[in-house]
Amino acid sequence: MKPTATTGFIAMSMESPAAEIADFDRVVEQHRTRILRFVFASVRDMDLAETLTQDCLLKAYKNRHTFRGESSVHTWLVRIALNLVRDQVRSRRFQFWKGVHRVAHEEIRNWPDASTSPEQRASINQQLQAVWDATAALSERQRTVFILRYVEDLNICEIAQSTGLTESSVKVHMARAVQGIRKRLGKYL
Amino acid sequence: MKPHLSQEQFARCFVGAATAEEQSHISDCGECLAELESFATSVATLRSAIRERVDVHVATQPVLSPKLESLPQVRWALATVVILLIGMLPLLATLPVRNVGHAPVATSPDALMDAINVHLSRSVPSPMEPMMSLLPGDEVVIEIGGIQ
Repeated sequence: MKPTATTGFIAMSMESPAAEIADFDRVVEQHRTRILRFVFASVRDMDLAETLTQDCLLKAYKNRHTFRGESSVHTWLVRIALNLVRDQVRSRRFQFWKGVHRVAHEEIRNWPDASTSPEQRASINQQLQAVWDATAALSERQRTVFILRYVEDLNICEIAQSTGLTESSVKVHMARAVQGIRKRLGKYL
Repeated sequence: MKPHLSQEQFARCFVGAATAEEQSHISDCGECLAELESFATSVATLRSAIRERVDVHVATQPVLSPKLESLPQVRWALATVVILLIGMLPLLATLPVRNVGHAPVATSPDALMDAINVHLSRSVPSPMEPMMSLLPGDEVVIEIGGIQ
């Protein structure tokens, strides 16, 4: 039996981002880890990342009625998370005179697993730490674009929607990020 | 022999925006290709490390639905009330305790006259009666010249 126009419309609307947001528990379940990952890679502090992710989901929940479905739910959440990260970075700048350093740059070592030899592991960990440090030295925009592309696997269009940049600007920031990281990695390549 | 890729050209190749000339250089130059692959490996390592770090964290943390946390105002209000109550405790302790017992109300004219007589026959006003009980008895009344 062929689907009628009505069933087709219902099926289509159920898959739309606007319909997806209606079941917010599902949204949390599906997107929390990805948002946490993006925030962690941006702020480099797991506790802070957890707090900001909760804030992001809470903000999204409160403003879910304003979501028009023009972009995907994930892109919308990333945009909210990005604003929270920016606010956090801005407030941290004003904390320096108080001597407050809430965010310690976390190290992500002890990877990969024990299946490789200790020498290989040491070498890979060094390389990993070098890339981690190199991304920290990028500008905020370059880092965001780099993380969204190479950690979160977003495409150029999604990155543009999340960051509010044009697609050509995203490409420029991405190329500059790669240049900056390569320059810093130097001997590890 | 052509020179190796510059920083800009390398970046363009990595992000997938290489020109035809740059692409042909990559396919011909083993050194540039190896460097590009090494860079890709470094980025992939970072990607895996971040993903693993977050996955481990998520596995150990309960997921809190924002709905459960959507009442911060109520929580703040409750916290404020508790703090205010704790702050007011010393103040409440210093307040005089009022005697809540009520004196029997005389209803008939005779009973009223009796109550007035009792009141007039008091040696001290009724509010001072509790204090009088604190004073020593007649035998220890202090007079000039010491205790008699």
